[in-house]
Amino acid sequence: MKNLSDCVDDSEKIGRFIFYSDHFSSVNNTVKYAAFLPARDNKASVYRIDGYTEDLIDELDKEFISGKRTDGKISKGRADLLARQVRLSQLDVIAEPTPHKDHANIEGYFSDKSANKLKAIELARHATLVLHENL
Amino acid sequence: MSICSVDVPFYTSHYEMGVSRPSQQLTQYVTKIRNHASQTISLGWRESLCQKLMDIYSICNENGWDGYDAISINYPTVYAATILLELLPDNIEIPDVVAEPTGEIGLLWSKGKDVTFVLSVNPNTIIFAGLLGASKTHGETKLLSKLPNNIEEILLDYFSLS
Repeated sequence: MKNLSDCVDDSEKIGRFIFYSDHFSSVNNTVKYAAFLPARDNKASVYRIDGYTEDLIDELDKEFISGKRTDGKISKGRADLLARQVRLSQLDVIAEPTPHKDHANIEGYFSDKSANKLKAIELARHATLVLHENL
Repeated sequence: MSICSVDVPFYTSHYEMGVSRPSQQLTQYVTKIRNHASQTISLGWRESLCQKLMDIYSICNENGWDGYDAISINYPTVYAATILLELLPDNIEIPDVVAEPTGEIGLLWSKGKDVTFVLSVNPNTIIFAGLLGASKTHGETKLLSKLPNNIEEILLDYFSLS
């Protein structure tokens, strides 16, 4: 795992963990825009997963993502894309090494909901769906 | 016309009110109306999407339903979505119904990776965004009794069945 820098490089792969199964289509193998809509803090939590194998991602999930939850929700899948593609949509990926050193946020969303939906559509368009085995 | 089951819009007694022939005919009519009104009106795909809206409400009516800090989907938003469904033109592709972490409900149309359009509602507002080939669009408008022309044109231009 090579994500030691505070700065997320354009070429880095990031993964957005998805807990709600209606935010992707396993039939079409696509991610839906809603997976990339920001939370109330106007950020979307992601992990810097360059260099991770799926087994390591599974460990990360069990220990820091699904495993940290108190409501029993487990991640159903992941939307992977490159940091460059986020920046092409005039958003940014900012390292936020809590609760894990490879945690980051997609930031730069607007206060305008319709503009954010368009950004989310663009991100979903570039994302690759990875279904987790626990699905 | 409502997608979901409706109440008979006038008072009807379950007791027979008279023995004359007109009175009995009236009782039969009222019974027919009551039976019809107690059923879900068949509106094709709108009916199945109405059921999907109820499913979303049952799953997403508490904050954090998306595993992050999503805003709960409330009943007025579900109701607004049923209104929006009724306003859609008939001859378009069936949208996907998507719960949004912002507390809205979205209707999603996609044609490959390059054409995607989303219509979202909350109790007062329609929010739209679309990636339509080389062009992009987004905006907000009030939820009224008619779909705005620009939105209807997009739906008919890109997602028409004919």
